[in-house]
Amino acid sequence: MAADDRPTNILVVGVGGQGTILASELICHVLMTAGYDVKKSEVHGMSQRGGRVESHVRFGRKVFSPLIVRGEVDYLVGFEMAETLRSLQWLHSGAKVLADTKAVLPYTSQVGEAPYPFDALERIRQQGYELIVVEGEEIASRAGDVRTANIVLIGALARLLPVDRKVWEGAIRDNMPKKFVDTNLRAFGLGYEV
Amino acid sequence: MCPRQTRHPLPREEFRLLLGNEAMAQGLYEEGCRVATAYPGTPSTEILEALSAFRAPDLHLEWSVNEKVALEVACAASYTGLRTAVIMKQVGLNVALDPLMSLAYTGVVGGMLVIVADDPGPHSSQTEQDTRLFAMAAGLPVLDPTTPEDAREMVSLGYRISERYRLPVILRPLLRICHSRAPIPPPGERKTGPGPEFRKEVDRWAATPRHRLALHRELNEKLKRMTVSRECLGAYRYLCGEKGTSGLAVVASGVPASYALDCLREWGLDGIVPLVCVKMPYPFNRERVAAMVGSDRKVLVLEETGPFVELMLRGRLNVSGRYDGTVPSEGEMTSDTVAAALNRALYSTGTGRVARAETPIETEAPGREGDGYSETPPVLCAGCPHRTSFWALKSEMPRGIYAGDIGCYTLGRSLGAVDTVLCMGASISQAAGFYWAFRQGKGHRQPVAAVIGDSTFYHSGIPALVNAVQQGASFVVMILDNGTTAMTGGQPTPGTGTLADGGRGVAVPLEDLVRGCGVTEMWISDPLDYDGFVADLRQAARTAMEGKMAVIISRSPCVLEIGQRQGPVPELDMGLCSECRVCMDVFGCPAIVQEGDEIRIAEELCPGCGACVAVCPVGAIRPGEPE
Repeated sequence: MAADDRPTNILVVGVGGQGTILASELICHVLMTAGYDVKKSEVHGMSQRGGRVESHVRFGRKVFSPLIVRGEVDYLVGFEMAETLRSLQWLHSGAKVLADTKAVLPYTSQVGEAPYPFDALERIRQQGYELIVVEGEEIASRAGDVRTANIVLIGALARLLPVDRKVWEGAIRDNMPKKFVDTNLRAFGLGYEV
Repeated sequence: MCPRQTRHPLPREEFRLLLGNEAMAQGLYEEGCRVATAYPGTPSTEILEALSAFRAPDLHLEWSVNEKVALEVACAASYTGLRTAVIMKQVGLNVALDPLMSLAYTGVVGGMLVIVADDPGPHSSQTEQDTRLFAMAAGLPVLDPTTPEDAREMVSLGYRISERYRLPVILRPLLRICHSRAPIPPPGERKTGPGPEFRKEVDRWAATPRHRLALHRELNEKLKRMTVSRECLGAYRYLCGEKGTSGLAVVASGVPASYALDCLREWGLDGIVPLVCVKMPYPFNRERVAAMVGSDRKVLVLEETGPFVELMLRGRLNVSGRYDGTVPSEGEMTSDTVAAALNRALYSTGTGRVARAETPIETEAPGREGDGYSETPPVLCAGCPHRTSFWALKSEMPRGIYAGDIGCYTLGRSLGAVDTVLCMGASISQAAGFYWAFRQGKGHRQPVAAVIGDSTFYHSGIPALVNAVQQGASFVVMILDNGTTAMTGGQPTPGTGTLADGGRGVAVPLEDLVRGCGVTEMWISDPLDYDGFVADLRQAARTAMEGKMAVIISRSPCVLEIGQRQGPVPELDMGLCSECRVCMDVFGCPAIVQEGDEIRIAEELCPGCGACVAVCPVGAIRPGEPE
């Protein structure tokens, strides 16, 4: 197989309630509409509010495996700082990281039993990855709804992927409840300009 | 950085991104399945739910009371010539094994699929058992899909094999098939078949041992024919490297075949290393696979979860895999495991790509990230009535042995109120075992309690209760009745009378069943009315110690099902709070949080059940003011 045919790997991480799964489904929908083969995997099961949520998205001319190999991620999209930091081992050296500045402290960190890496973004930068920092909630509230932070990050990712902006916007129109479409399109646009 | 990607040749606008489970449901719809039965369990649950969404008028589907019953219902329908399916998770097959073993002898008329989802890891099960081994034990063909697309196509293939050989066919998707998404074409037209007709054939459908011997011979002949049939030989395919020159060959079954194919393609070795996929692991044609692989090669076998294909090839070829320990014998094999195993094998046979040959070959394990930052373990929801039931149990029977069961309430472990969990329905029989063990000692009287959910009680608690009553055992049975199968996403129980498609059936109340099992002492009590519940439980505990079986039905709806505030948020008086943290660390309600030095009840998380009021030892939590 030609080197061009290597599938592209996107890892989307966050914690429960951040819209991680919705975001990764939107990414897959767009890639599929654009004509790529797509595979996606996530673990459901015992995950609860506050637990790690991790979606693997792979696309290319033909993709078989739904799981990424550690060290092969091209794009890491992180909705939560500590989860983004903990995912670095998945990246290859030329990977790009899109990181929200949001921190969600797990219970053990709230009670001071476990440390929380408030310097996560600095540490990602130190390790030499190309880092795009996105103030998701701040931008989302400018778009009109703080809950669209996930779509802001999608906007920033869209800029890096080989799919026309119109396809992304079409997918948002097709997949979101009507009354949220405008806000989400604004959030997407602001993210695209980051 | 993103490489240019070549687009897929097919017009894909109409494709939908479906879960493997949804893809199989679409296959069942398209193939004209007329009776589908299931018991919910991760990772299989979404199959019946997605099938129900097609609303096919000529399809009966049901959440059966357990997997054995589900299999028996479906098999009789296929005796009449209809296409049927029974769906369960891997441990469900243990429950259904009795009819399955016998059904392999009688065979079927209409196509029958036994869809059994395996859970390596395990992510959400008590064992990592490999359904392919059960297929061999029963003598039934088993299909092992490599992708969600494959899983849908195997529904069709499975029905063809089933009807040709008049045998049920096992379709064994792995969790990574069930819960992965892939583009699936829109549903095709639903096939129609003839109506039901039952041909009486007493020597088959009601065979006595003499006829059973003949049926066993017939089964073995079918299997023998199958191993040289088009279906079986067509199930072995080169995924790549048919003309490869490498000293290594890979044989793979299930989703590990997809991991291996992508690795070899990305490393540019797909022209060199032969990868043979075994889509039907049983029955197995050793000669054919050996010929495809070539006898002078080293062979790496990649499969979930046990060594099956590896054992089939052992002695014939130079094989390694999960049996000889090249790949760990337990745990989920991920794309990482496969990449590391391929690297090692390529290195040892002198075939390119050895960059990471030193990487250990490991299966996936919790906490593998190993970065020292904490993850949140699963806990009972804020407002869950089970938490209060466990709290009362601990306070009224502090010296008790607590036999637990399978469901959300297994999480009662963290409250110290679950001592044993074995399998569905074992709480009541194990409580009886504890009772008889201590009964034989002198003087000491050991309080014992069984805790079981409503759905689990219907599933397999009833025979255990009949047995305990009849033998004269006495202990407390607490049935946690939240009116739903909460762990798997809220499927209806027989107690509600709601059917799988949302229609109305006939409710079978728990209390009638309990009385019918011979229990005379029963309380029905709401755990969120804490004082009343404790009073009832105290009486039940006393009754059990006096020598009578005591059943308390702890009845309060699942907080996820009501989905609304139950009452005002309680108030925490920090002036009284001694910071003993019992409410957080022992009671473990996730709505009570610490932020910095401050402990507070998080309004956004608290559904207002008020249970924490009784929990605080210094009275610092007061009922909230009604709004």
